[in-house]
Amino acid sequence: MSNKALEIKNLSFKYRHNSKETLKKINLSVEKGKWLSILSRNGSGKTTLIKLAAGLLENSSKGSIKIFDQEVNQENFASIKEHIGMVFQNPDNQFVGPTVQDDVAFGLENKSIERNEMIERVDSALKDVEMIEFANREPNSLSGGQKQRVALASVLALQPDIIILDEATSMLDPKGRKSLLKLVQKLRSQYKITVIAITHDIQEIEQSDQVIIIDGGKKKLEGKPAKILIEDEKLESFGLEVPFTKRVRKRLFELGIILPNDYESKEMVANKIWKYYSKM
Amino acid sequence: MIFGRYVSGDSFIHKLDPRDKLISATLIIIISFLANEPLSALILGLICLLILLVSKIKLLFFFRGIRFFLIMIAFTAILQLLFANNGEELFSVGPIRITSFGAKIASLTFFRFSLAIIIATLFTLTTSMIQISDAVGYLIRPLKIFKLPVDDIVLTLSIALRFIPTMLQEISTISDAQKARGSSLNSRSIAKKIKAIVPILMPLFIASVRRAEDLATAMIMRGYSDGKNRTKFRIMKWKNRDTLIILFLLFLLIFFGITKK
Repeated sequence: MSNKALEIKNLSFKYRHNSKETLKKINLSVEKGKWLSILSRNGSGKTTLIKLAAGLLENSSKGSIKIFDQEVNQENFASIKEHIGMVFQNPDNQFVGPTVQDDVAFGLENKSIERNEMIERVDSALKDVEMIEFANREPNSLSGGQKQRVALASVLALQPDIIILDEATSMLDPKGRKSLLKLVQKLRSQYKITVIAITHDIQEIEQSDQVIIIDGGKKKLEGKPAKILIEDEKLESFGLEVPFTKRVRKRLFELGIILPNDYESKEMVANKIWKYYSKM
Repeated sequence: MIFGRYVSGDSFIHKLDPRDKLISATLIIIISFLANEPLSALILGLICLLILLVSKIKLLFFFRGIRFFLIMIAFTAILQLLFANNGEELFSVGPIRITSFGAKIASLTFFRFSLAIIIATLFTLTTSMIQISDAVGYLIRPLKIFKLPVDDIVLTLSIALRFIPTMLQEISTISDAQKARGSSLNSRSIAKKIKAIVPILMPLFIASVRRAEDLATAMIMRGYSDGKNRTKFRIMKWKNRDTLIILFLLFLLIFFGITKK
């Protein structure tokens, strides 16, 4: 298999009822096993991009979208789907089965997988997301974070090469969000899965290998998280929240305290402040 | 009210095949209409009591739950007792005449309808919604020859059942939100109350359409195309005991049918 999980070349897209293009000449490539975060304001084309990549929208432009070297189009939709698993924003709207295990089994039933193998795969997927003891539970007895874990298990049971997180953590509380991200990170390295995440969340961006910012249908910035997250003026102009540590640094700067200007995690900034404090 | 509710458990009755329970419940209700003398009624009544005891459902909880129905049925029976005039007079107080015929049909009415309610309630108490939908789905399978998309119907039914609690939750959230905005949901005037329902139904409707769209996308991405060629994760196991129960009830049906006066 090719090393390129997703390759987009010169992709433009226009909805029929719109006069303006939603996406303009997007170029993008993600290597197998990497984590890409896509940042952008609402309504700036990121969901369109994801739908095109998954084959849910027809690519009518001259540009090309390839998943593992296979062109995404209507004829290939069935085999493209095999590669991709998607976890959506609203935990409730993707729970098909009456119980946790039924939901995980749903995709396997669709693929006509024999029952004994189905039971094994449901079990192992639920163990992977640490939800095995909830196998017989009904969805309304689960928290949002637990439902997203089940959604992840449902996708995992189908053994995808790429997992797309479509703002999958945005409806969760900070704790649920953190543990879901940790889980995705673990599964990614365990199964060599490529992760493509649409997000507004700084934590999610910190975890990724590669970040792109899309605004007004165009790719505005691309690079490693540390590089992107330094650009706070730009981040603000894209309507995104400036990282907490950035804001702390800025306020300290205004007070005459200068911390080094490279992006680091909250804990590291806290440590720096401790050191600074003890020197005083 | 406990009719339609499910109480999970692991009794003998809970473990029976849902298809067996659905057929058996129907058979018992049919048999109750053939049992028109004290002995056969007693036999059926004892069978019901046995089922109730074996199901390990608390008697007090059970009869409290169906109290409303029993009172309504008793009320109907008393009316029949008072207004049936044919047959031998047993006794009379003033204008009220109690006849043997009246007593007979009143007790039969009470017996048959209570039995039907007891059996139907027992069925739903021991069988989860999803099992019921699986059983119904199995029993309507012969309709496939009329090109009825049975598998799709069963999947739709199970998804609908799965979303009932979610939608109830949503209704309560929306109505709280509307109350906070000064909706007249708690008003005494009926006209105002009805008007206040519209701002609850509209958001609910819009949210449901959006939900359906999301759900459809999620289902497509997980490989759903149509109900055909799908394997089944949830299976029902028909055991010998299920066959025995059906045979026993069929025997009773025939026996009561023949001996009916």
